[in-house]
Amino acid sequence: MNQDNLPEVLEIRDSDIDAESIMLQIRAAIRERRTTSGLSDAEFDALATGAPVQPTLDGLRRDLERLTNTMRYTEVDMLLSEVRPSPISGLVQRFRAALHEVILFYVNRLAAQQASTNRATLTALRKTFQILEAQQARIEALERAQHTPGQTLPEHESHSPVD
Amino acid sequence: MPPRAIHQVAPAFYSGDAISNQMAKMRALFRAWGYTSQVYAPVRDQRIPDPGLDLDQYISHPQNILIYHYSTYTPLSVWVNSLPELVIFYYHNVTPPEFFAPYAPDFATQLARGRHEVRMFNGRSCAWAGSDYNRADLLAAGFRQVDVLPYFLYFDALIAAEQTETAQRIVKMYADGSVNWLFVGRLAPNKCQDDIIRAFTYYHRCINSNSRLFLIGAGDLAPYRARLEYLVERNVPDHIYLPGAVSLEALSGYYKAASVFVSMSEHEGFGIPLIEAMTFDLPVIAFNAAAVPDTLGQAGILVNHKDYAVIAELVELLMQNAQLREHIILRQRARVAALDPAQIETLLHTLIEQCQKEFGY
Repeated sequence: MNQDNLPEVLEIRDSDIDAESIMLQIRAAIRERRTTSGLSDAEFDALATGAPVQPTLDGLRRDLERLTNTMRYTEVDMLLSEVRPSPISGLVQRFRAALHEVILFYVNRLAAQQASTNRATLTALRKTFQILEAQQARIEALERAQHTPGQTLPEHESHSPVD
Repeated sequence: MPPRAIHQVAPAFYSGDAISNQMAKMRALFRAWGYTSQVYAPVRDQRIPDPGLDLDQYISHPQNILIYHYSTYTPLSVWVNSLPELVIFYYHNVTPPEFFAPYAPDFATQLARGRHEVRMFNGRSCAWAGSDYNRADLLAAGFRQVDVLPYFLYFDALIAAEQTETAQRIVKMYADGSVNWLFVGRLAPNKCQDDIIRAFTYYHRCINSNSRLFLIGAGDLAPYRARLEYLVERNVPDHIYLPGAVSLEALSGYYKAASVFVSMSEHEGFGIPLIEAMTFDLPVIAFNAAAVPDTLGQAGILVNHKDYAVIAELVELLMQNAQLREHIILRQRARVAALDPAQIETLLHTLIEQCQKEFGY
């Protein structure tokens, strides 16, 4: 963000509009936003310049929630119901019905395997998230302790917090 | 002896795209002026009431005038260049290949050939361009005389579509006090939808969380679409919408529900959605590149640098300052009025007469 060159950033080809005044308003708004947005300078600059913002645990939690919801939807949808073939007579109808059942059998089997894989993946991701959350809490506690003389460091949990 | 027919040829004749609309309008005018006129294309959309004819049905005649609409590399050029009749080369621009090289190298190569192939026609006595920017491209490619024939723009159908159920549903859903950013154009690297996402992210996080961004347009280029989806996912996924190509009715609804039109495109041969937005009284903020400043004329607001914070704050200023917004809109209405199709019709007539004279008809 180059605030020094703001007059060059915008071009309003209308002499009735006071472009300079608009530039000043924008400049002031950006300055104020920097202090009121609740973002660190680095985060604010990242947003203003379009640089990638570091992923956060909150973002990861939201991703997991979305994944959980999607999985529920997949599981409901997975169960295929039998489609009744159109009423055509005799052998053709019996053949089509049998073929349909075979297809249903294999599709449902594959879908069940996929759903099982999805559940295992989600469980692993949830555990990873919980470990990350616990580690983040420990890092913050360590940082606090470092800045508070006399305070004892928290003990490191030797086992996984989710097992 | 005056020409007996004015025909047009192009790689495709579709329903709804800007060049095809131009061809259909010109054909109607030529017929009204007493010429035999048809559109010839190898690919034609049969949903068009008069979908034109295939190339093999074209009968060449030295007294014909043939208008060749050029916007991409095509084997048609060699055939057109071999014809004895007066060929008018009508240039709608070819996107510079560097935009596509990281995403679709083969397509980029095709674009490079397309830009190079233009030179094949630079000895022709008659050449037209859709904008001043396109004209400059042709002059740089060695053309001596190039006239600008802008596009016939009719928005009656788009405006009338506001009343349809589809449009009303979209307006009801999204015109809810939220600040809705809009851009219309296929998802392509030269259109730079990624920059709009970045500016919107600042707006949404730092200025107004009650906001949405709609990026309307077909996403045929999978790698670029994936990049945009990744950016959306990393920024404000629940507030950025990529509905793809939409119907005329839905498009009308999105224009009606929008608060501002933001374009960060770095290459436009003309940029018809900029004018569409103006007809819906949406203030237009656009990056100053290619034909965009010509298209905007004295209207809208041009951005010379992609400073996302400035762009977002400018949107907010337009939302908060009713007087400024009204002033911008009034200017835009004047711009739309200046693109009067009747004037372009007169210009087309003059240009045809001029070409006939130069060719000795």
